[in-house]
Amino acid sequence: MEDLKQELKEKIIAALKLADMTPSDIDNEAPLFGDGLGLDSIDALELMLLLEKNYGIRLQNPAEGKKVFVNIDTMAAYVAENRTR
Amino acid sequence: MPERIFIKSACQISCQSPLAEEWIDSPVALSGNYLRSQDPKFSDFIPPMHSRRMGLLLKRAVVTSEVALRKAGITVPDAIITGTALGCMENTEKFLGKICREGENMLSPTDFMQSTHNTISSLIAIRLHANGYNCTYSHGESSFGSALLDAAVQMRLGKIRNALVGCHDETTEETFRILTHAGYFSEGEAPATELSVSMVLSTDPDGALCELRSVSVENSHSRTADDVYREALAKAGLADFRGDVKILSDEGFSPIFGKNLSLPAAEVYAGAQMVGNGRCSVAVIVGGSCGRSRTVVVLSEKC
Repeated sequence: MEDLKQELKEKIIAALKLADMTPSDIDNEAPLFGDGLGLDSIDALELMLLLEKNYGIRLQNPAEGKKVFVNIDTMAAYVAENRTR
Repeated sequence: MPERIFIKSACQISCQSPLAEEWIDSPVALSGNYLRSQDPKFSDFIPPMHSRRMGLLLKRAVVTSEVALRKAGITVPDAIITGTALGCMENTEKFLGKICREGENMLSPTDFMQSTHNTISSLIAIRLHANGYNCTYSHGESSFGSALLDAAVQMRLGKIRNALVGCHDETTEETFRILTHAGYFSEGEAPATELSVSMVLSTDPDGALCELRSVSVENSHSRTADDVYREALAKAGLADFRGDVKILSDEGFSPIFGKNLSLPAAEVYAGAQMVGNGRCSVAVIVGGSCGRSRTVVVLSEKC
């Protein structure tokens, strides 16, 4: 699971062009949106794309994304459970 | 009653020193057939978290716009009017490349959003919280002339008191290759370059560089250059003016700013700076004379 979290952080930094950040800057429990990383609604679309491209997970319902993208822990748990590749 | 219109400030990012007027006395000598712009340190102007999605052209447009507004002492302009012949080519190429390689599924929303021509004007408005008139003109070499004309008409109608007017075009390697193939760029001419020019127009003369006396966009090349200059001065109410008049054209400015679809904007910027610092009393600009249309602008000292 720790490897998956590290991989997700690396992919998020690349996809969202967080050029000045490293994986160690992202806390597993810190919120991705709002006060944490400060991501916005366009980032949410990019994260949905990231899941589909890399793990074969297609989020059909945007409300589902709210639960999945709370933080790295929730994202990694969802990917581990639902990945098709 | 028509309002008088003034250019309060103007700045550029180009192959010359960015956000400066060093080109007037010591221009960078252009060489080769393709030159990228000299960019400022963008992080001095835009926080990295805000600029992370922006391509080069957007960063240049944001910086020239915000510097021009700051120099003009205006926080939120009444209108944002932008010219761009080709829009954000870097993002357009990325977006189209992904469609070709990966199909139409799973395309990045960022690349799509920033591949549209009106991204520049919209982004500036979002950053400034400017809810007024917002328009983009994409008319080849007359894109800037159309934007300037729109601003002037709205000011003369009394609909707005000031406007941020800009013109922004980038020349990526792929754009250079395609436009060379199409015959727009060719060896032996001025090098292909990029330009981002922003200026603030206002009905307030206080601190202005110069007065915008007239602006027109013409589609015919049937008239001689002398007729164009004479008619432009007459239209500007300067038919009998006997002072120092500078004629600014593509031939004179492409050795300084290179060849680019936004060159008429650089010529108006240059004219405003030259009148503003007393290099001449009146400047007549005939821009885009290589293409199918030309932009004719007359600037004069404030009086």
